[in-house]
Amino acid sequence: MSLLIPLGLLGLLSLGILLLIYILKPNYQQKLISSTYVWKLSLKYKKKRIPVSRLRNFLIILCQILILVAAAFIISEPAQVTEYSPDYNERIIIIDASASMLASTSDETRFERAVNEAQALSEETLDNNGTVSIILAGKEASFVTQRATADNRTFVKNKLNELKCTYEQADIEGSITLAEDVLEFNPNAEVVLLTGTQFSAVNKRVNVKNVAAENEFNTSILGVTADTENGFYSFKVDLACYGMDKDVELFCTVSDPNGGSVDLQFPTAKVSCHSDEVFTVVYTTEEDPQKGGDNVVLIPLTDTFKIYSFEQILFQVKETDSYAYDNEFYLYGGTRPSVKVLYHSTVPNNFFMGILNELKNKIFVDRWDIDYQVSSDDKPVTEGYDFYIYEHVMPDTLPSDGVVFMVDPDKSAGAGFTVGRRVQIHDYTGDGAVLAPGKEHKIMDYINPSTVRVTEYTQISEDSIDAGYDVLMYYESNPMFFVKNEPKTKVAVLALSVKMSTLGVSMAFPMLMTNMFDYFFPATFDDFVYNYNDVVTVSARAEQAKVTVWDTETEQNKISVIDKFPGEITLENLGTYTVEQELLNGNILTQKFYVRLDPVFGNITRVDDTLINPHTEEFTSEYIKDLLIWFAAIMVGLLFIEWFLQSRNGV
Amino acid sequence: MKVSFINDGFFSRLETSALNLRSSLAGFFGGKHLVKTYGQTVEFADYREYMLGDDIRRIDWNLYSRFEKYFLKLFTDERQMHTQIFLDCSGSMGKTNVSKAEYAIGFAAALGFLSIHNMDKLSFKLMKGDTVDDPFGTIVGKTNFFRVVGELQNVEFDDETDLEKAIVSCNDVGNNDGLTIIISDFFNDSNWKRAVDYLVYKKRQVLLVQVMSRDEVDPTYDGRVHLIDAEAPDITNDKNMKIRITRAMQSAYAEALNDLIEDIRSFCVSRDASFITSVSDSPIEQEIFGKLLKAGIME
Repeated sequence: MSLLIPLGLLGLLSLGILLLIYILKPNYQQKLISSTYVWKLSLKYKKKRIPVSRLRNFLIILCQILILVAAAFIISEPAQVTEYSPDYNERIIIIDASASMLASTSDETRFERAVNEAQALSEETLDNNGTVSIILAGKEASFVTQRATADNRTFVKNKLNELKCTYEQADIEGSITLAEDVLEFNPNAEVVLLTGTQFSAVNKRVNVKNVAAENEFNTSILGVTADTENGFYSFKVDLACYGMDKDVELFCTVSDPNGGSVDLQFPTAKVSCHSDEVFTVVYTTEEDPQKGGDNVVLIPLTDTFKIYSFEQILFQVKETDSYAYDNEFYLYGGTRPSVKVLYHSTVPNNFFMGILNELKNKIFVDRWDIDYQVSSDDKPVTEGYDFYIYEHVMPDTLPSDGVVFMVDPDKSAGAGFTVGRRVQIHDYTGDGAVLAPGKEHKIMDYINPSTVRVTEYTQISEDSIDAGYDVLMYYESNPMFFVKNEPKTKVAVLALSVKMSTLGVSMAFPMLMTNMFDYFFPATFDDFVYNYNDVVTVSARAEQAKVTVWDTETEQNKISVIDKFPGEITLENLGTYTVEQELLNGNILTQKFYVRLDPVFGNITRVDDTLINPHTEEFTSEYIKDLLIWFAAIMVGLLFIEWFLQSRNGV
Repeated sequence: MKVSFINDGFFSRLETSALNLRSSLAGFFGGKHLVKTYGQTVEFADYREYMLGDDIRRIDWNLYSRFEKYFLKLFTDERQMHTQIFLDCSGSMGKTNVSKAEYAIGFAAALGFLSIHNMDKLSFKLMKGDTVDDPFGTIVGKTNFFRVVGELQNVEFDDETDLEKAIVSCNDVGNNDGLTIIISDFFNDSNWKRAVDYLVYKKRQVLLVQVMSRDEVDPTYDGRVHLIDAEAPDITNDKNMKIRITRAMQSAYAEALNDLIEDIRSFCVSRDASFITSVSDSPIEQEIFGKLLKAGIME
């Protein structure tokens, strides 16, 4: 119902007047009578009827209010405005090109059906001398053709044949915005959305045509997470079957388990999927696993299936469903690259051994397999390690196959600086005994040099230090900590002893060691599973990293090289990406991650929220049906009821 | 206040009627009311055998000739009664409604005339407050009566009246000697039933006359009304009341009034008293000849 004269609602102000009348109702009129004796007697008879009287009074007031409201509405000219769509002579066809449109039945995907439907609609429109606009709702919405007429029939057909579905989310909102550009010219154009997605609320302005087939279903591996239980891997696999209740078998094949070369097949998990719900298959090594919940299927892993490392695990459901992109899932990262560390000192101290233990067992336990050795031989070892820590006694020449950390050096060992005299600080409790910050550097993150006091140090002139070094900490203009990170030379120098300073007992020391490790041995990438089109940041220990992926379009490997770190790579292919880098010691470090389609597309029966309405000035004609007579009838009815109640009241 | 309908014509129409009092009353010598006792009138009543000491002149010799026994001829006795009319002079009887007061006075005068006309004694007792005023004394004879009626019309109706205290405290209500008429609207809280019981105890024949105005029988006013009682001394008195008079309220009023009248009527029946109720706008002769005849008070 609409009001043709909304200002008529000002008549509702009369309610205020009614209220005023009730408030200012005339006072009691005085009446001189012979005796009130009988009136007082009558009150006893009257009291019995009070509830009825109150109800009647309430009904009278209600009637009066409704009468005034009805009167106000009558003034406002109520009418029922019925919209009716005029004959369309122009169509705007939006084709959903999201990844879920790849769902197929009978060798025809939803997208192909949508394109065929678009073809038919455009033909029909063009046959009627109409105009057709086609919008592809891919990652970004774009016009395939805009306001094409019958003269462009062939062009439209060719363009439709060239369309390809994407692996992205469809930009329906952007498509609607593009449609509005056309609607500016012809507000009466019909907007047709060809999609397989359902919407919880659809506005009348957009004609949504569902191109999904009736018998579509999809078994989907939504995600896999790995964890360790008592040193062995356990896995959780989220699984669902959309569009059909089905018993699904999940297969799991482990490649190179525990350093071996024979593949291992886990017990097959049988899951009764129903109601589009997500089920979790848990491969657990616990002897007496606790039940996880209603939708959890436990697969106990006996000793035969206990693994502490793997090269790759393939999870797959062997179903001929409508959407094949989520039937397999590759999991990598089961074998951590090793980092060999040498700590050489004349007197090994617990500060270093303690932090090395922490780095190995806690801080980098998920990233590297750290293997450290402690040595106090006269002649320090200079090869076979990735990270060398020399304390007090330096080798004659620095190793070239790893990162070198020189602590309290007695000589430079050709590292590019000159060692001076030993300096003792007697007033180590004074303000001047603390270190000062140097250049900003990633290694110095979260470290406050002023918390470190020094009692003795080795004087190294800043002028003697090679240009490649960055000085990160000073004591009275003497470099105390400086770092060089060049492709072939990665050196850090600490010109003071851990024992002759408060460094070892402050938070700065574990932070410094952690930051150094993170700086020289960064994680190549931060996850082993990504979605299509994600941007991955790649770091490397080498000068460059080679990224290889199988390109399904060209059917050959696609190789890209990254030589600036951290570098970024956009994941434009599905499947396994391999990242290779040549380390300082000449070894090749190979790591892999898996790229899949966003699991949200696997839910081919999903229902999205409200479809937005394109904004148009006018698109329908209106048929106005006057409702005046009805309101008048209501008012008359209310007047009659009010009169009846008043007559019963006798006032 | 000059009662318009009290005139010679009014009284002349009443001359053919008389009060019909109970024959068990004792009364006084003289008068015209036949009573149960035997007397010296010419109206034969009964025979009885002669007893020693009887007047031999009253022996019926005709019967002696037939039965050879002495029989005496007995005649009914005629007595004079004392009619007392208690008139409620409270404000409710006429302060605001003159016609009601006129009607009450007219009713009293009419009943008084019937009494005087039958050679009875008459007293007008004016009740006001807790006391009874008897300004005219015992009236005998028409001349005296008409003089009193002329003065009766100057009675003022004011204040409250406690019927019970007024009647019970009256020291000359008589005993087995006539009719007591109470004229009031009975619109008060006093226990008038005790007063009636007292009169019955005194073996008086009792007649209650309820006089009401048309407004009291059928109130025509409605809406939000502050009712001011004619007997209320000021506007804040509890007798006054604020009320919203609706149709339902009017129905309740009628029901209450009806119950009040029925209560008086049933009480009177239980005490062998007579009761009539009268509305001031109905002709007084019609009420007297109709309701009093029907009640058996008049013949």
